[in-house]
Amino acid sequence: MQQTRWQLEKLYTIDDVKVGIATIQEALIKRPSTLTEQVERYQQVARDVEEWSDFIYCLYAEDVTRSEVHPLLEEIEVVQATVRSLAAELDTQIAVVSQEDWETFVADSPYAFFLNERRDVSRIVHRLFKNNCYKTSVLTDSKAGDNSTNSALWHYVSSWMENKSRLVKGYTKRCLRLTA
Amino acid sequence: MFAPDRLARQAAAKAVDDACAEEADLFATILNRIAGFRLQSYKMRDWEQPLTELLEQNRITEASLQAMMDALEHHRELFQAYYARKIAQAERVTGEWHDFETNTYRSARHVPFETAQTIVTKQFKQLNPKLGAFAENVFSKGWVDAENRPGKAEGGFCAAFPIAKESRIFMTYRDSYPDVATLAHEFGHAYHNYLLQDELYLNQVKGTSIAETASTFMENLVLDATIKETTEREEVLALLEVKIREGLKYASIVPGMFRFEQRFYAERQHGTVSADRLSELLQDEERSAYGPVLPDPARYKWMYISHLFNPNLAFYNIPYTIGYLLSNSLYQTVQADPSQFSTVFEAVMHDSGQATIDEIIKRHLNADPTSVAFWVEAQEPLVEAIEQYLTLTESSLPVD
Repeated sequence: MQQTRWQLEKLYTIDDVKVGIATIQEALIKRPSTLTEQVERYQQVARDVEEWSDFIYCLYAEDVTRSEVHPLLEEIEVVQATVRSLAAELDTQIAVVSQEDWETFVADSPYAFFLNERRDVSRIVHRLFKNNCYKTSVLTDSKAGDNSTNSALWHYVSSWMENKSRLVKGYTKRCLRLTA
Repeated sequence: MFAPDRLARQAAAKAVDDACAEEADLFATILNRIAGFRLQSYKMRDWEQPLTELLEQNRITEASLQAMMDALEHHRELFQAYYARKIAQAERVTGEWHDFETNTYRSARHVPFETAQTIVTKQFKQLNPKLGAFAENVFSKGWVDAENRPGKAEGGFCAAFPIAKESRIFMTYRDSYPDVATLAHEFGHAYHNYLLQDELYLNQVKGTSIAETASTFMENLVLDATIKETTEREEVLALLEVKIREGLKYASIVPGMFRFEQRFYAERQHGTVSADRLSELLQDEERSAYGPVLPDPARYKWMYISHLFNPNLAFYNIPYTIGYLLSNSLYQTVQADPSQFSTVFEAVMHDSGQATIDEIIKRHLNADPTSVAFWVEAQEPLVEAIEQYLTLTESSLPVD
């Protein structure tokens, strides 16, 4: 009952942090082919980011003068920003799935609440792009075992996202002008 | 700003005002840009009112939020009576804003960290064996950084490690009762993490408001137990002030901040809002909260409440009030029947990543979240503490 330090070194070392960040970066490069894989990948990187960002912040908080921790704080910030982009990509994808396919998908998913919540929000967000949305009739899911459908759908989603990206840039400029 | 010496506080308050005055226009521009961008985004999403994002992020319906805000008006006179009494204890009729930031009564007791561990473990054990065992495990493994040493960051937090399935608590323990309350608060976060650690990660993601519920619960548990075991009047008053100050922050000050934000957003729709107008709007809300005892509220408070400048979390003040009142409601349920700790409190924590606030209240507290009565009742622990404070200080009012 006497300890007043938090035994952080028993949890991880700085070398572990570097390996952890590299693992996240590796996962971020992969391009999962199905929505199920996308969700699993998101779960993994979001969890890893919390693990390592909290650990790095702990290292900083216990001694704010420790210079070797400062670059790690910056590095994890960059990773966090990439994961936020990944979440936006995921939102985009789940917004375009037809209601029927969506219901089948979430019925089999252990993350039904999380996914439904994100879909509700992202569908409102993507109302901007409704002319391009909600055309998808088949869900990209490895469970379907139909690779040609999956590839075609992935192509569709990618094209749609590129289009969206251009629109977002246009809208962002407009927003900045309007709020200036 | 928290110094017992009023002259020191006044000097600090003047320094804060002077520094803020120089930068007020710049900060107003930043705040206007954030709000302007947000309003434009909402417009493009066809959101008719600016609270939609807040409601989504906090997993609460508009009807429930409105019921809560209405309920917070219910005890306004009592809250103002407390503020007036607190200032009267210092033999003044009115106060300056910094007078409310510090305790009038201060505990003279020295509470070593070992004693704090004993207090927390004992209270947790008395409530529930699993909770007690958790506290023993955390202390025996040394997961708390309490040491007061140079080079540490300020403040307290609980870090979650979902892969290692461990937590770490950070704070600087300075041998006082408020530090015991902070320790209990951070333990609440750690216990919440512990209850969720076997869930899939995406099912552990909590809404912003429920994230503070377990921590507030544990803080109240330990503070109340300590108050009950304390007999000296001054010590009781010091502890009550800790509890009341925290409670009023959520039940009186934060709602005022929320109303300020709503008024600011309404005016922002018609153009930029000046620094002077921002000050006026917030001072207006603070006067309503504190009453006549604070005639001149802090002019630049809107500049240093960092939540107002968060571009990702909309109206990021009011979630604390939602979490606080939900915590109070759970606290009352468990105080009435400790067996409800497992069946209600833990069930709510388990559901915190997979249910809305409305669903949680209906499912586990068997109550209607859209009813004002539910949220009025949830203020009862704070009301009781204020009433106790008013009774204990009645005899020490200055004679005219």
